[in-house]
Amino acid sequence: MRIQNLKFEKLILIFFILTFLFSFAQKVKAVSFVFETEKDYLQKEEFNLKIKIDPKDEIVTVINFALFFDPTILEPNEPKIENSIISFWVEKPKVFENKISFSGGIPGGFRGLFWGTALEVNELIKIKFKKKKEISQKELEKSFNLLSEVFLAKEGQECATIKDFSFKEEDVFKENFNFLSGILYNGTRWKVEKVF
Amino acid sequence: MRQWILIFDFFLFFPLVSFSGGLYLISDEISHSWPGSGSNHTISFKNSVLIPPSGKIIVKFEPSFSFSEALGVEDVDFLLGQSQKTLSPTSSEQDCGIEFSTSTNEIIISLAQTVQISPGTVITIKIGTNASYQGSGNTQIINPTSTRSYKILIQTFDQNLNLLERGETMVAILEPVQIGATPYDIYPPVRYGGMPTGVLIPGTRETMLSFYTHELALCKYATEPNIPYEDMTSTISTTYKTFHNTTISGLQDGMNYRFYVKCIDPVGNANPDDYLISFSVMSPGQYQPGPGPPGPGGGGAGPVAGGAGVAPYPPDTADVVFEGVAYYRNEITILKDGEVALTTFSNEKGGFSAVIAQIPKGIYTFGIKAKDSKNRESVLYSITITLRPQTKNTISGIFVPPTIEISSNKVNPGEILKVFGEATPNSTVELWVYPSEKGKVSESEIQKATTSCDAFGNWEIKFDTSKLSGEQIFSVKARAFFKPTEASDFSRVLEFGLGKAPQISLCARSDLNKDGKVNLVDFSILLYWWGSSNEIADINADSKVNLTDFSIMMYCWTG
Repeated sequence: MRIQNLKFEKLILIFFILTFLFSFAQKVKAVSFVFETEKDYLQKEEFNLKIKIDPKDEIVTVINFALFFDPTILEPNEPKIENSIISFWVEKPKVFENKISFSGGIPGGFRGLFWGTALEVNELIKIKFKKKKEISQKELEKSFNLLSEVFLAKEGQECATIKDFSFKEEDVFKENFNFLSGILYNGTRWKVEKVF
Repeated sequence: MRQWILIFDFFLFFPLVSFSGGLYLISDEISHSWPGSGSNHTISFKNSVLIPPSGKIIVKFEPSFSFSEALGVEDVDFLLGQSQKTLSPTSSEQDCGIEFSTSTNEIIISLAQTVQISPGTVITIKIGTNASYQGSGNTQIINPTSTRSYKILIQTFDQNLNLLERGETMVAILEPVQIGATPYDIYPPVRYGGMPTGVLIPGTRETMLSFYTHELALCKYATEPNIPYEDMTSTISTTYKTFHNTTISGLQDGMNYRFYVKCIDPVGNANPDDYLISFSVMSPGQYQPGPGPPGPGGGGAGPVAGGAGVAPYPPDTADVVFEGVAYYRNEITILKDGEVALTTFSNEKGGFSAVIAQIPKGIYTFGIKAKDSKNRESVLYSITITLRPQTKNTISGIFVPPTIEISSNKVNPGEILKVFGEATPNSTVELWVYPSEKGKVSESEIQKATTSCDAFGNWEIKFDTSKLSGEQIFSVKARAFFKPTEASDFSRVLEFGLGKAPQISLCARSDLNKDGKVNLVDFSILLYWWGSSNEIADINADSKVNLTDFSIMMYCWTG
């Protein structure tokens, strides 16, 4: 009897470990959104939020984005799209009540090939918020709710619902370079040279 | 044979016609570019202001370069045009003086009391073992030990040490690059920054034809298009370099001129297509001096429109160079934010290179696609990057996926299905066949087969459908590789049915106006029918024109 119980416990343990590993593996591969802020952004009255996408190994064709915020805490300005990777907008970014939303696509799809390099670009929109009251960073970050759909370039039809996002402190790119280069995992090489 | 290459020179361009912007056509060709190595320098530039007798030319290197105490007059040649000038430690009536400052990394040339340099003179200073006029040069300047680009400042002064003009050039110190044995250098040189363009003022009888290549190359031109490089007779460059120029004389007023340029790199990759440099010389009647650009109905002429003196890198712009492999001698199209930006051709190894110059800084999605010999198009390979101002951005190693076709879209179980297309010559093609009516397929459901392309990139796989089961629709796609870890993306996905034919493909349905392209016109039709159940715009036939249809259109985009 005891042996049977032990076996059962072992099986349960293995099941949980496998489930954990499996869910972790899925997460690593999944497309995710990154909200980039300046350092100590909550110390200011107003702060910018850059909403970015990390497609991981996927190629994203269309993004249908909806982010809910708490209007008692934050008052958003008009979203900016000057640095957006979206080429074609079906719905331009807008703020309505407690929701920021937009839909748009990238011809041929967007791949995060240059993540972490000087050529990196993954911004969708930039939006400025005004703080209505003092709040901790943790509370503020928890107050956002994401409900977005991302279409992938698997014949264009595969769609994933994304609720996960993370906050990240902005890396300011230092422009005082003359020559940068690298090789990506798939053999693509890149090089940026300053010319005068 | 193994060789190590040197690279690189750089340049500033100032208006030839205004003659007030400083030294121009500046370059420094170095013999060895790798860190810490001794290197010969050949510095060349033109002045736009007269340098009087006893005037000075000072060439200043960044502190990271190392000057040897042994540098002497025998290590420097000083040429004005083609004429060698004698150098001695101090200037005199006949000789020019030369000094080396090892503390400030400067080379100071003082003109002789009888020597002056007229505007527009090609001034050349050779430093190192390439100097030969006053004995054999035996001492070189030592390169910095870190890889990056380094500035070289050139200034001219009058006899009272008043600054006349200045200019900068750059050299890139790079790790050695192996050539000769590498299987990867199959890209012909990229040509860009061609000058002159537009309209030259009446009376111009000669001009400097110039352009750059992104790698060391020899170049030639022809006045007729489509002449292979080896058959061209007019040589532009006789030594491998990146800045190429030659004087074109005998120009006449009122005439248009077209020069078709091709280049070849040190491993023999020649351009399959022409690079056109065209300009015209105005008739005297067309020319009205005064401010403002020339042109029909224009109020007169700054003498050159986009002409010989335009700086190649205006502020806030960037160049993008694309290098990769596609199909045997066929058309490559580059899209910028969904619209066609340029077309070029691949060579016999499938290699291609192209440049889009002077793009305003910002964020762009570039698409690369190729057409094979049967006019089949590849899928679009898209790249989204940020372009910083005054940069040259090179993306290489682009691997255009194969084209694909099937012998029939309906086969009986056990029949052979021929799957064929074109890919990069001599690459390996891997075929995937899997049920298409399921959402996700497991690895065990994918049937794979591989073959090798011939020297023209043709491939064919006879797929035995007896491996498949059930009366259902299957998807088929292919990818190419030389190394499995560096494979291309997958080709377009085609469908066939066992015992039944599939419906028309989604990409064919995305071409809403049936003009053979999926582009902005189709996107505008889709938006017009947005939210409706219009049968034409409802690409996936689910009775709604929505984001799924838009996503399919983005996936199938051809521009």
